[in-house]
Amino acid sequence: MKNKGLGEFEELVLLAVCILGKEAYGISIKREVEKHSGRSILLGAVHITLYRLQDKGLLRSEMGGNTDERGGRRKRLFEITEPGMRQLHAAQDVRQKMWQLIPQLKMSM
Amino acid sequence: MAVDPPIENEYVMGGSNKNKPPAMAKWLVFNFTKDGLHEEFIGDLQEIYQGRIIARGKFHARLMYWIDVLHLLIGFSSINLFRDQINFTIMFKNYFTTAFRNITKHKAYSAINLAGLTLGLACSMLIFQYVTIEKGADSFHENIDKIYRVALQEELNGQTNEPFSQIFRGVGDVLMDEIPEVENLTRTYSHFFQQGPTISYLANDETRHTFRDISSLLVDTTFLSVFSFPLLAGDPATAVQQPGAILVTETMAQKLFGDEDPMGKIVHYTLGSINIDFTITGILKNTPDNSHIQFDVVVPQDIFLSMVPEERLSAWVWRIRNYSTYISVRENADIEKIENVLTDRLNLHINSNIENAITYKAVLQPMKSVYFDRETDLGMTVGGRTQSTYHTGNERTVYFLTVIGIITLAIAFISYTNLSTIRSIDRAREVGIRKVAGAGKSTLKWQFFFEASLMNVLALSLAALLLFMLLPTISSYLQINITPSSWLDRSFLMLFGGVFLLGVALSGWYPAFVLSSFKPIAALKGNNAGHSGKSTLRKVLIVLQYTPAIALLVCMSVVYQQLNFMRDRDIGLDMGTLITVRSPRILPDEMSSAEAEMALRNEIYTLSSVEHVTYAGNQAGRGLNFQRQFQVDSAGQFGILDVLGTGIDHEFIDVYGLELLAGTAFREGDMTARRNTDPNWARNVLVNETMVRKCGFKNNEDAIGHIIKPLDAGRSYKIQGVLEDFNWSSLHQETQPVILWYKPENAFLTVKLSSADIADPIAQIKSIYNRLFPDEVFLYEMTDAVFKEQYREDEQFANLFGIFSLVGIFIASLGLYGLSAFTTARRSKEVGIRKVLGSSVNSVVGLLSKDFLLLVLLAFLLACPIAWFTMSSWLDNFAFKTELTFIPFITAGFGAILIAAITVSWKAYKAATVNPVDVLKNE
Repeated sequence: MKNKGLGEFEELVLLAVCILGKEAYGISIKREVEKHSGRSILLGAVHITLYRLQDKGLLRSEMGGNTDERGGRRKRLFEITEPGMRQLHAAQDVRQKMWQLIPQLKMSM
Repeated sequence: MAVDPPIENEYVMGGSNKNKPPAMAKWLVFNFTKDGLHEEFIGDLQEIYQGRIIARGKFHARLMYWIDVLHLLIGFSSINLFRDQINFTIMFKNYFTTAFRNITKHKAYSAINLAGLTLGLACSMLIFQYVTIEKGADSFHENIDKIYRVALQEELNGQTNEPFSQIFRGVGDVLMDEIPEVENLTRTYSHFFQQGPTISYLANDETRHTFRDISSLLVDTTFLSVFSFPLLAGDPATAVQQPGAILVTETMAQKLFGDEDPMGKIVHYTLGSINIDFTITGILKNTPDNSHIQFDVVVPQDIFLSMVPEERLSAWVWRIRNYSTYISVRENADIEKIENVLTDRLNLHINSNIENAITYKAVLQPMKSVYFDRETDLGMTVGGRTQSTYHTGNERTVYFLTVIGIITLAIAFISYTNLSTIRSIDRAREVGIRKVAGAGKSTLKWQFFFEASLMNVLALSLAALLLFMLLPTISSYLQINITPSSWLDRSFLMLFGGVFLLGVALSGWYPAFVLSSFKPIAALKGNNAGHSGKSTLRKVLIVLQYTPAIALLVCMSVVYQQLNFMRDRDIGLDMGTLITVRSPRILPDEMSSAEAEMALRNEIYTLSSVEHVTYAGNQAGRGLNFQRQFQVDSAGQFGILDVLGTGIDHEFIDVYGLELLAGTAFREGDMTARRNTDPNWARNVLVNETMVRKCGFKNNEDAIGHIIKPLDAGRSYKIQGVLEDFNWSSLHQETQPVILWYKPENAFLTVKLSSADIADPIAQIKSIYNRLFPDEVFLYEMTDAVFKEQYREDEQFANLFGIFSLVGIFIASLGLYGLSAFTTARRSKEVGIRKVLGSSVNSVVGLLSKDFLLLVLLAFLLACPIAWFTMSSWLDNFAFKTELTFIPFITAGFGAILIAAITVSWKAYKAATVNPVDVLKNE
């Protein structure tokens, strides 16, 4: 697997999938990301990212149950994979290491 | 496999009450994304759509739905135009780039092209919207194909009258009991001439909300099973069935109850001596403008009928014609057979009641045709409204506007084509290079066609945006209810889409054809490759775009001339300082309406600002409420003479400034002219000149003293005096025979004020009114404003016409400007040389403009006969019409040529005043 690292939005989406656990599908992910990042996101952007992450092997998905509010249609539930989890951790590690290298920030705060 | 999503039926006015997402967007997702993805996408979209409707409302939700769909399509499109790197898509990308570069490179040219197209499209969109709304009239009734209105046609002495839809109550009984093909039937009864009932509600805060003269429709309990007026609250199956029920429209409910929940509330309903408390059982959606039947409230009529004594009711059944009757027929019913059976039964019933020589013929009018039917009801239609509860559209206007819409668009497309072809010379090299590099003719054609389509789509988006912003202004200016939501109407999309696609095909195809035919060698050498003969076509196109533009301009002047003619014509009535007040109907205890009206008159008379006061049964401009067929004891040869009439008092003539030509006028308290119970007694009346002529009297004096008898053997009338003709309603109709009888108290009080300063007198009259009748609502109108109201429809038409012809000439001139700019630019060297050799600025300007102006002149000559024929047929619509003179032709023609001259010589003048050195030094 090529390891290109995660884009910022990809990272947010992955994190949202982790948070939501069994209830991660297009709209819930959109809402979760919107809630935490405070910006509004187009549904299409979420879908495109989800599929890209799935192509990269970081997510897997299956069709889940249907509800009335969806006009009786089923949703695609996403779940993080092993490599996905590793990527997330890797991303966090990189950041943490880099944060620790800026001591003066602590003083300015 | 993809399954088409269910298609929803949009309500005509676009106000769908179902919260479904846009069907077309859904369709796009279904058809242009990979199969496996539909389920989750549509599901997600639906879920978020519901959430948005609740959070931000429907419009926002629909808009966002579209944005989401487009976004998804770009990401997941199954066509994937811009992703796969195959040859075709690379070429496509290149077309896009080239088109974009070309548009941005020649900004002025693109702007002209785009402006013309945008305006043309915006106009035709507006017109087609209006046309679809009118054409879709009444189509919200689910059973419209099965519904018929029953009308009666009278025959006497071989003469047939126009059908009349106000018919006997008994006709309904016959239809229901004796004709099995009739599935369902409903009768409606309404009040004539703005004299509706009063409705009031005592609100929680003890204030009484009272509204008078509302339009109230009394119906059979089957009303909502025949028609499909949508209910916002209440059960359509039972709402009309419940005793003491009343249904009100949304607006009426809002007025009566404000924020309170209307369902189950008690309202008080007053009509004449009838006072009833009704319970609200349903809220109806406001009747759309394109509904033939209009109302504020709907009331089951059983309660009224139960108040009438049995013997009077049975006498009415075949005597009084005041019911509109609608039936729905069974599948495959033979309409002609129903008509024949009904005709038989009718003559049986009627002739057993009334002895006369009239035979009746039943006519079933398809509900679809009723909205545009202005013949039925003997032209009683006033400004599209027969009674306050019926509305008809003007089919002629719709037809004219459709043509204008197409013409405006055609001008825009022709202008576009012309500009594109002339631009082609600039792109000869590009074509040459492309051909050398191996592009085939058809590839090139596609390229240029693609460019044209791109331009068109761009213009379409701009037009939509423009209209979206301007619609509120336009709607209020034209007083037409058009909203962007009707863009989603299916028939609008089909009509407009069809015309648009045809236009794109034609205007895109021609330049594509010309451009792709350049010979590469000639093109690259710099010759004007294959350009010979093209200028002929260009000339033809200029003439083609200017002819309709000028014709529209001429027609516009004629339309306005006719409008002014009608507004300014002396109609025989002097209405300068008149105001009309409605007589009180909710009276203090123990006061009769005659007493009330007399008291009001006497009190108003004490005001110093009042010259005269008169009571009449109707208002000028709203028709006369009495109508009967007459036969006269003179030598006159006629079949049925339809006569209108109303009651007036002795001051009527003074108030309206009428002239008495013969006989005597009414005097105050004229007992000879008042009601009498003697069956042989004839009521004294005044008639107009038309009546005298139509009855065949030798002259006005000859008519005095004659008795005229109605055909239905009712009361006879004796002519006491003859008045000059006056127009009580619009000049669309000829002056009809009129009789006026004496009735000292009546429904409308008209006050003649001594000066034009009316604010104070109105306040004084109001305070008198409120003091005398504390429970009644004071309602007054300017008499001439009421009269002019009947020209509203004509004004609308003229204004629409005005806008579109101005836009038409503007687009044509824009195109001409583009053309002249271009040719002038190409001839700049020639101009330089001419100037060096001694030409004056004038001669150069003349040289450059002459060709164009000759073409415009030719267009003018072609436009004249077209406009002449069109307008003379349009004017036939009016009984009183303006002369069709040369003046509008001259002014419009002169105007058009002047505009063209300014347009063309502007650039020519610039070219002619440039220093020749600047243009010649480069070579």
